[in-house]
Amino acid sequence: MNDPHRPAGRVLDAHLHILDRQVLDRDGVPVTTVDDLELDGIEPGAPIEPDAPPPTVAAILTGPDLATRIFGGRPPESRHIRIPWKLVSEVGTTIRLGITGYILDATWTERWVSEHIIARIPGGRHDPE
Amino acid sequence: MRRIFAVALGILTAIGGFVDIGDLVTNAIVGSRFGLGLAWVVLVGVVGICVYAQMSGRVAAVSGRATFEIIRERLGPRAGLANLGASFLINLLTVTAEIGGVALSLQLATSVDPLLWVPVAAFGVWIVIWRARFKLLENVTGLLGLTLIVFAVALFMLSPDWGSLAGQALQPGPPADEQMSTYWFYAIALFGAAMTPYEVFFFSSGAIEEKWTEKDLATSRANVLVGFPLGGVLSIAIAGCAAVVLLPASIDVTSLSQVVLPVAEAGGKLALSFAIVGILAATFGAALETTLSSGYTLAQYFGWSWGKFRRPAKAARFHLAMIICIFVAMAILATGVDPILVTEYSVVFSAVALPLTYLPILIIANDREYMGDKVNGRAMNLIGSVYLVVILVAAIAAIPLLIVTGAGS
Amino acid sequence: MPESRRGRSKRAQALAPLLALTIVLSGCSSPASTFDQAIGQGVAAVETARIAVDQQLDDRIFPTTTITALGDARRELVDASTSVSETDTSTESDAALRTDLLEALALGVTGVNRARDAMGGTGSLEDAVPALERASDALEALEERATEAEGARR
Repeated sequence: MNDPHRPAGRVLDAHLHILDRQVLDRDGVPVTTVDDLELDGIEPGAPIEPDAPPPTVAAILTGPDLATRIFGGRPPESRHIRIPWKLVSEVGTTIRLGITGYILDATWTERWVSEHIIARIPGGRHDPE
Repeated sequence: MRRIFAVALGILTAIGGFVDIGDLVTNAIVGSRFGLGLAWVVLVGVVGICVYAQMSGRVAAVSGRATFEIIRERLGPRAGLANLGASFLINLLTVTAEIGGVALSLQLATSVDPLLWVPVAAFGVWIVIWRARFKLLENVTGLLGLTLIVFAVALFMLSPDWGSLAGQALQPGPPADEQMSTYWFYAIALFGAAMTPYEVFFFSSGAIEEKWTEKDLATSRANVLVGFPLGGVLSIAIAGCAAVVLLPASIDVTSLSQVVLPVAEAGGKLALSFAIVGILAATFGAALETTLSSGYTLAQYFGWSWGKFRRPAKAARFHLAMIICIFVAMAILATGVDPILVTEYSVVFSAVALPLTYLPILIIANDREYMGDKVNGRAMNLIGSVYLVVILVAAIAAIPLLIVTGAGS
Repeated sequence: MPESRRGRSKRAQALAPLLALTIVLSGCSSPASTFDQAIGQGVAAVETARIAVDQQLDDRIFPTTTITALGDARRELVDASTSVSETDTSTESDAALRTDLLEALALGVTGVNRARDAMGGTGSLEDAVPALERASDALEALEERATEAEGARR
């Protein structure tokens, strides 16, 4: 109860409430799923000092991080696709971002497929009838 | 008035949408070999699909989350991927069977080789998914599929010995010339045909496509609880027709042309034309639903943008995935494999894969974080658990029976 | 020593399903069961063709559907003939049964072909009826013979 590190407000379990959740943008458009999280304040493998400040979530990771979470290993630093945590506006049964998802790195495959394939097929840019 | 119309429309589409190539073929095979001796399985399957669809529709409407988003969240990426792989492959097999079914029913109407119809059927499926609104495609194929009622009419026109039909239905068990293992193999196939997993992906994703709220739940419950049992009655009528005309002539059904012979026997060309239109609509509708389901499952697992309510360019990977699935189905059919055979395997493997999606739905339907106070009631949990056991037993027994009976031969 | 024994029992465990599968598969491919299956397949195909032709003569069915049904029936008959032709037999009576069965299935194919031709405008559909009946009778006789042979074996 008197744990000095206990933060104020709602307690979220990163594993239970954040990992593998759907990320939606400001307009409710799916962006990605939370494939992994990037933590600041701890070094992997290094012992944690008892009085060290609690680590903070720096970013949502996606892309190659899904494959490494399933099969193990770590993608090279440059291959991470990050969504900075400061863009998150709400954590519920989904994670909402405060911006539009279309400009994020995380949606580059969607943009690529859209621009190079789907939008080129007749009717691809129209609403269904 | 409007509301009554909406409910009626929903029920009608649920009846037409219940029957697909799996139900048609499996019921006709079973009817031609066992009479109505397996009618009880249709009953078990119908109650099961009602429970299953009702739970997944409720989960989707209350939490706003579709089936595979939840499966990924609950099982994690690894078990989720295994689940996705199995569900997706079996769904792809069903897409293949349905497109093959469209080609076979076009063959009945034209006598042109089904291989030539396959590209036409595949293109038709794609263009409707590409351009038509969700509600439109659901309603049109569902209503046209209603012409399958001709099977029930035909059964009456054949004026069968109702006493002996009832006797078959009430005293389940294999006839003298069939083995016990074959009987149970077809019981599982019939169960898999009634409770295909795609219906649930489609139902729960459809609830989100149509932006269901908790208010729509009553309508959906009526659709399911009235429509699916009536669809089950149609299934039994198909088996009944085969039992009256084909069983006495010792014809084991191996092709779609045999399925419609009893209808022509009873009602001539008019009835036959209804049957062909009904089969075409039912298989085409199911081809749409299964193709959409393959896109839904992939997009939901990976968190892509999906949905027919978006223009294709706004759900690009979802549409690309479906295009690839249609091509793969076309490639499988182009090898000349018999679509009826594909159908038989797809219903058995549906039964195998059923627990993979049923169990997570059952768990989430009890999770207050998602469902608030709309979690399963005690009665619902009881029947849900009974079905969990049934589904597990069917899934475990399916493959051994498949091997022992040589796929029912 | 215990190591190797465990290894062997593990191997035996792995082999058990394979063995079961072999027994099941070889059970399926014994001449008697192949013949039974082929007779059933042939009867189903010939009866299907008869119903379709009857309905066509009654004008109760679309010609396109009749042609499809006849094509499906022919495929089944050819399939049955192939599997019978490829069966080895070990007794005189099995060999004789194989010859007669192939003949009966060929009768069926002849009948179905006659009906298909008639649908295409060559010959008359009525002529296909007796041919199909002959095939049906021949297959029925074989069915009885196979049942008797099975009874004798037991």
